[in-house]
Amino acid sequence: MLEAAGISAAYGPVKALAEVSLTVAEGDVMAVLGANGAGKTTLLRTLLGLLPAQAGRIRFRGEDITRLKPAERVRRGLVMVPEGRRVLTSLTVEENLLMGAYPRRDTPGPAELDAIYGRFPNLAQRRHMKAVVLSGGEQQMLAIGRAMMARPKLIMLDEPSLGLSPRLTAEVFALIASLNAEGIAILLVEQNAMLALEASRHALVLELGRTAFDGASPALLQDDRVRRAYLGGSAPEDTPHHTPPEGVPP
Amino acid sequence: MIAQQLVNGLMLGGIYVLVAVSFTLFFGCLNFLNFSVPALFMLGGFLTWAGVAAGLSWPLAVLLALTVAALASLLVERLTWRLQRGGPPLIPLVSSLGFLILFENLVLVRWGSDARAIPSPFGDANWRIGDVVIGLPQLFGLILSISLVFGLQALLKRTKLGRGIRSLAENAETATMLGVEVDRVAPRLFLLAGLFCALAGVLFSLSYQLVSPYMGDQVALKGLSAMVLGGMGNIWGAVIGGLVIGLVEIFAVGALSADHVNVVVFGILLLSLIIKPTGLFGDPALGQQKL
Ligand SMILES: Nc1ncnc2c1ncn2[C@@H]1O[C@H](COP(=O)(O)OP(=O)(O)OP(=O)(O)O)[C@@H](O)[C@H]1O
Ligand SMILES: [Mg+2]
Repeated sequence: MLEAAGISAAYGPVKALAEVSLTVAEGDVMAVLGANGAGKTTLLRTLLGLLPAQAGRIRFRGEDITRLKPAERVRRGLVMVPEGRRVLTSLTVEENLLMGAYPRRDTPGPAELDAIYGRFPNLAQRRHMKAVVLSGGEQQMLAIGRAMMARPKLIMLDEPSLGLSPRLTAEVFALIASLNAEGIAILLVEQNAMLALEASRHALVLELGRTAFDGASPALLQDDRVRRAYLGGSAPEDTPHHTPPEGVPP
Repeated sequence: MIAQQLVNGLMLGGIYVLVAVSFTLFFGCLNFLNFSVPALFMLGGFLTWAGVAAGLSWPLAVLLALTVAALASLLVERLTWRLQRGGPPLIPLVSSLGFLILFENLVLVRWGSDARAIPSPFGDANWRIGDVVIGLPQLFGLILSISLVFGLQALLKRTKLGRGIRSLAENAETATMLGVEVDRVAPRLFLLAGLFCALAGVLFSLSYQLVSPYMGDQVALKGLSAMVLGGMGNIWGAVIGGLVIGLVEIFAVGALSADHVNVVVFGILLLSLIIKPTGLFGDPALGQQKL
């Protein structure tokens, strides 16, 4: 569904991504891991076209999108939930949701909004309030709800658990699993490597902008050497206990 | 006397409101201090005179003037804002100043630098309430400008374009990520904001019956001050700022003399900025809640 081949990107003279390739299959959940500054956010920004790819090609649903503007990519179903959520605080909750549908040619109907509110009762109560009043967890739900309004085929989430309590993190992961169950492919950047590997089928590990591992998540989870190098070396038993969300393959 | 000055001040303020809102749209949404605004104001007023002088009917002359000003605004969009974006932020500002000088001098070359008297289509129509005289063109201008601000507010709140503009105003990067294309929004914004200040120029010429190639300079300086006073990028702040500056100006003329106007207006502006550097409505806590 999404294929990137040898993409590179830079911020001025600073190289941030060097010849990274990845494939997200239809219905797949892929995790992107790596230390701070490894280039995870840069990878997502390049895939969406916020940053130009200096080399390589990006294909989405059989079409070359390397040179398309972000709006064109969103319209084709490639949608991002950015790092730090980035809800528009001066807009109301409902206006934020409508902004998710901005590049669509049709106008979203009330039934669509109601479907989102059905999932997120907290947002329904605050639909006419400025998004600035939302808590961190509610803002994350709004950012995901906003992405859903774009009619996504693939959602890229950048550290959706950042700053959330374990309970809210589990809620977000359950939500990701249920979106995936509806047929939406997921590309997930996550700091919490154990959680991400359990929620995903494939994983990509970035190191200084290069691919350090690309394979099945269980393999990465088992590989002691890789785990020590990229996941802080902690054995699964040492990580805080949590229940994996429903519907996610172990 | 005081009631009369209050009325005159508000009616002058109505013109500043439109100019201030125009500056505010450019600055609030695109972070662009558009110095071609005085020229667009002048084109609105001056070309209305030129049309009438050439024998056109009033409505036709106004329509022509607004069309030319709108096209001029779109030209500025293409050649300053769009072309020079991404470079140092001062470059579009300086080149919009270049357009100000260009447009003013084009008019100067064609029609000369003299101020021209323009007959009012309303004659001397006015309304008396006791001692207070209310000029009908001025009253019409004030009502029109406040209605236009309400219309603008509705556009920003209720339309897709409005939501796109407000998203860009808050965070251009997030707006782009959501699929807002600034290159599609910007021309519409230049059209809208350009029409606001050109219309202010038309209303000015109707109210004060005098036009010149430099008529925009003083008015735009007041409009810019009104925006700063209101808090850089807040539409209602610009409205209040415009009305306040109109009132201060008229009271300064009455209490002192016409020569003192700029001293008083800009003295008060500087004083208010020393007391509250963010302007009346520029709450730093709401810093990103522009427009
Ligand atoms: N706007 C920018 N300008 C210049 N360099 C940047 C910019 N954004 C990121 N970088 C650099 O690019 C590299 C990759 O950054 P990126 O944000 O993609 O990392 P990340 O893996 O998402 O890190 P984190 O886990 O902290 O979010 C870093 O070295 C960073 O310093
Ligand atoms: Mg990041």
